[in-house]
Amino acid sequence: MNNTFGAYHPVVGFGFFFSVVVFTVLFTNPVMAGISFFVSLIYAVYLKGGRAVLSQMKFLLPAALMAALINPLVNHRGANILFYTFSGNPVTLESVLYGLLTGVMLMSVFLWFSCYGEIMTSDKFIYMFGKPLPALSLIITMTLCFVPRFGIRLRQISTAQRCLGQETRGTGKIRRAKEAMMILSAMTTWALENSIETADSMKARGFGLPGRTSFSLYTFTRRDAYVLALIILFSVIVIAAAAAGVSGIEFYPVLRTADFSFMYGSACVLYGMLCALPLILEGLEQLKWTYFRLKI
Amino acid sequence: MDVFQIKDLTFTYPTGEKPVLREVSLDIARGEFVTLCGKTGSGKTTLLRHLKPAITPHGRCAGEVLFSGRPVRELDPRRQAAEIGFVFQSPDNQIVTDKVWHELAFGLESLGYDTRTIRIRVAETAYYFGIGEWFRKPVDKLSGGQKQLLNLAGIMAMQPSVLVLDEPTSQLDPIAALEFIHTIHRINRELGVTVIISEHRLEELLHLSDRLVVMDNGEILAQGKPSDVCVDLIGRGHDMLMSMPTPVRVYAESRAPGECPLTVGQGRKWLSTLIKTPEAVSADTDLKEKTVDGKPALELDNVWFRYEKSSADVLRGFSISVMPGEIVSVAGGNGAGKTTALSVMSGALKPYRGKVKLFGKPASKGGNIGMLPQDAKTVFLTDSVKKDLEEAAGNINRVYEIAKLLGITHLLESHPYDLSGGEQQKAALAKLLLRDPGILLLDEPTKGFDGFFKKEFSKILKSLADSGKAIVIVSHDLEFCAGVSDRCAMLFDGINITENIPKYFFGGNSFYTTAASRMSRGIISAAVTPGDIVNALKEEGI
Repeated sequence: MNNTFGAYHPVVGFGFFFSVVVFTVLFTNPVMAGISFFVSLIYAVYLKGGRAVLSQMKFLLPAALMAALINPLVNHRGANILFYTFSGNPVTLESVLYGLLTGVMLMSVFLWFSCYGEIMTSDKFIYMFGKPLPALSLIITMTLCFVPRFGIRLRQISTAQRCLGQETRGTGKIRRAKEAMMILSAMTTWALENSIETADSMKARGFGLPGRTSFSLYTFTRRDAYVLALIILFSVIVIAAAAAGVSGIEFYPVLRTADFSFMYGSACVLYGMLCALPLILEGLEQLKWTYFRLKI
Repeated sequence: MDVFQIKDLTFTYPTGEKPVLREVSLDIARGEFVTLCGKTGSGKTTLLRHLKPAITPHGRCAGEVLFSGRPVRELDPRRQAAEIGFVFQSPDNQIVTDKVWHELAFGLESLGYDTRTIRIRVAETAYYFGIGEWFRKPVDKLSGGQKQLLNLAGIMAMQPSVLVLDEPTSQLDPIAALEFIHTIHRINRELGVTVIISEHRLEELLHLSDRLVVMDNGEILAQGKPSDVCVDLIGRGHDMLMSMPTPVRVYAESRAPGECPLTVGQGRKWLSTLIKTPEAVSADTDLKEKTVDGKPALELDNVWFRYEKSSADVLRGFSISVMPGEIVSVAGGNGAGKTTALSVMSGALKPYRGKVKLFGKPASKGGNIGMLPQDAKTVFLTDSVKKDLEEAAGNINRVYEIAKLLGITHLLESHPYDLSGGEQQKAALAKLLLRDPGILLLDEPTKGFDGFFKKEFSKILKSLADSGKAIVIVSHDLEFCAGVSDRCAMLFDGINITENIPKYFFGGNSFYTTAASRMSRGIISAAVTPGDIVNALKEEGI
């Protein structure tokens, strides 16, 4: 797959998604929330294809709408009252706007996580936690090895049972439930039985000796360092700008945004560049290949 | 210098009364290739596990095992892990991690090597074993043979001086098994690693071994050069001969003069010294086709099948018919569509073109047909054979009846998983028979069987056929097919290429045929089983 950012070192990917998700949650500024949402949407479409994102949006949009609706119902702060509910509580313009913003943020965080799933494969996750938490990362690895086998085995057993004799198929719910229970218990026995051999195989290969190391195929190269430095630099500037209050916003009692300033504008641009970093890298890579092809 | 010295080793499991190993003494020299054979339950696995303390079972133990002159138990755990490599039976269960590269590195990680060293070791190992192609694959996408090769490679990455293998090929198909054994031989020859391997399938292993050790009832029955051991076994008339390669069996049964042949090539030489005028001798005796009246029990007519609309056809006009009381085997290589064909017969898969008829009626209506899957373990759902069989029968008297018929009465109280492969297959067959199907479908029934069990199993199948059941076997095991079937069919590229009685079927093929047929081709005509050759020799007065 065409996935330049995925080829970077796990630390780079992890650093990127960490900062982007944290900023998305922290910045209640509508411009920044909008930037985060649109970039995450584009990136998700780029990575997973429009169809997959569309099917995700089918339940993301209602969820976001729910968030937008619930906030004004439970939060009655704000000066501009739109109307009163049956129970006599005011619904304010400010709380509706805040609810909408929360909905957008929710969608962005979800989209970022779905991109994370594409970029940060289980290998990278295990690598990230292999050093601080070696036992946990091994358990995850073993689980990832076990889950597909469990599924295959489950299919084998149910096929075997079905093929033994066909009269058992579809004869009453109780009988079927009983059979399902029996299959489940057989699966448990099977898994336990196999785990004994797996444990032997681990012991035979010296598992449990002190000083176990954690190997991975990843190497931290210069280009990883550059991109990581860029992520840190952008993050620091964006945080500094936010701390200085250039992008400040208040919802209650009345909506008050910071005045537009040069600093505000550049903070937004930088934030946009940070979010779009994987896409920018992807674009540069494309250009490079086009250039190479032209030279030939 | 001896790598291992086993001195008067006696071992009893905590729950057992009889010792599993009795005063076993064995010396293994550096660089030697030792094959350990014996019937199921003869103590092979227990003995092998005593060579590596990390996995030695608990129990009462007398005698000692020395590694390079010192008790193996006193060996530093780190050295033990690295120097004594152990490969287990199941390709799946040994795998710990989810990726090929990680599995290769697992042992080295345990030993605490740094990333740089592991990188180099993993690279050279992957290169030696030809793993480069699937280096980054998840392990669940590998075939059984690839998995077992990966297990071997993961151990070789630790650079052991001894390799102990406990029936490593019993779960593999013959081609993967052959490749695996050749890899082991290459490791022994090129790297000088000492190899101790236990195995049922001796056909390809015997002539590669420096030494053959035969175990029986926890004791070493015979050991020495493979051909000498075979002669020794013949002298004793021992059961183990049934597990020996075809040339040895022919030699043993015919009692003809000459040196004991181990391979088909040696067997041919030996036969041609006995029979001076080739082709004059024939094993043609009863070539009448078994005549069965009535309608076929199972009929497949021009069946086409594919798994998905966009995928390739697996069956392309496959046709076969099986009469009641007939045993038909379908042979074919990997991916020829054998298991698919069986699933279509069983009704688990529906063909998109063609007809499947059971006793003259369309299969879609359901019929009394039962299938035994490749892995017999998948048949059992409870914690004892008896409970499982009762569940199927609903009547305990019938359970005893069938158990008696199959000779598994003594196993009824056991947990199904505690049985040996052959016993499991028999118990699974019992469960199938309790449903009283008119047609039996068997998928690779002899996987993991020793020679003794094969013979017993083929007797059972023959008696079932005599009672009027139609039996279809798909198998890689040509020897077994030739011995048991009334008719054989060859499935290739999704179509039934040829079909005939075993004598003509195997007599007509020149590569894809039994060892007996390859051994006697051009010397004795129409001999496809060891029995055929022996009979022909007898008639010649040899």
